[in-house]
Amino acid sequence: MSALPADPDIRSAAESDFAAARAGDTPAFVRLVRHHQARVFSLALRLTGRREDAEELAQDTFLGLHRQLRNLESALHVRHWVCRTVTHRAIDLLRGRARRPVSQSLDLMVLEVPVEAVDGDPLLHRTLRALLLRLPEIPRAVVVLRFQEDLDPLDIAATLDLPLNTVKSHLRRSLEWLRGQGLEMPR
Amino acid sequence: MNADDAKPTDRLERALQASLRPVEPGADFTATLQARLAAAALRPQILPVPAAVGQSLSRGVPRWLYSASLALAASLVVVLAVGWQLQDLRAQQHADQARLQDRLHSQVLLALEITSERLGQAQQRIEQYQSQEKSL
Repeated sequence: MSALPADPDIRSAAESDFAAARAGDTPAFVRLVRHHQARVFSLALRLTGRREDAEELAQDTFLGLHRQLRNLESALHVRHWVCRTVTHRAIDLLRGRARRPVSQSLDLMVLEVPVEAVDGDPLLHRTLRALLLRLPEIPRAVVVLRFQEDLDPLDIAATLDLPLNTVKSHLRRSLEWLRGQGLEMPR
Repeated sequence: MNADDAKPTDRLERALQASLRPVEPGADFTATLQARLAAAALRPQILPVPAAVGQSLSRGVPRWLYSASLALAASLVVVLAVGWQLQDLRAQQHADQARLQDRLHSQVLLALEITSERLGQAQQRIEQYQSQEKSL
């Protein structure tokens, strides 16, 4: 998993923030949070589909990170730890939550998807995010980790504690299902 | 997409990548987190029982003796509880019997009073009857 920026200066800053945060330096921990908060919040948002749940999950994840810093070896592990933790917490939340009725129309789901400023066709992006919410928890997590975090199947398998072939199978079937939804893709 | 391939290759995958671009949480996210961290730091910590306390208690005493003592203590508690309950039951039975005896006693007294009154009335009537007969 590529956890740190390629630029050696930024990389070294991330490592020094990690070391300082580990030693109890709160401003360094806040910098560490700012570095990872978009990815953690977005993972929670795409998995739960609700902004308030996503904020709560992201907060809990960083509180957990603060407690676990001493057990992490380097800044390299922080990204893996936060991705793994927020994903598992979101899956637990989804499993505990009453399931959305399957009969709900896609149009309604598209309307409920949180608004985000994105480049390109906003309707297509919202439809894709709504369709993702129709996938079961694990395939949804696989697709989000693949396309949001750009993780390869091996890293996804490590994050979700799944066999590599299971991850590949979820990814293939989810993409086939999405292709079968008749979306018009930009050229 | 070929799942083995690490890079998105087709239009759907590129669209997914664009749709799932990370977004920032609310503006107060970090401030809220800092407040929660501060609150967590102020919360009193639950101190673990020092291991030395447990060790000093158990040092040199065989495990079976602890079990036997516990069993004995439990039995003693059960015996005492049963004893107290029996004593309580007996006291209650005595009180019930005393109340019953009192009630019987008062009923007998009442019956005697009624009988004596009736006898007095009968005696009175007999005397009246006898005096009327004599006058005739």
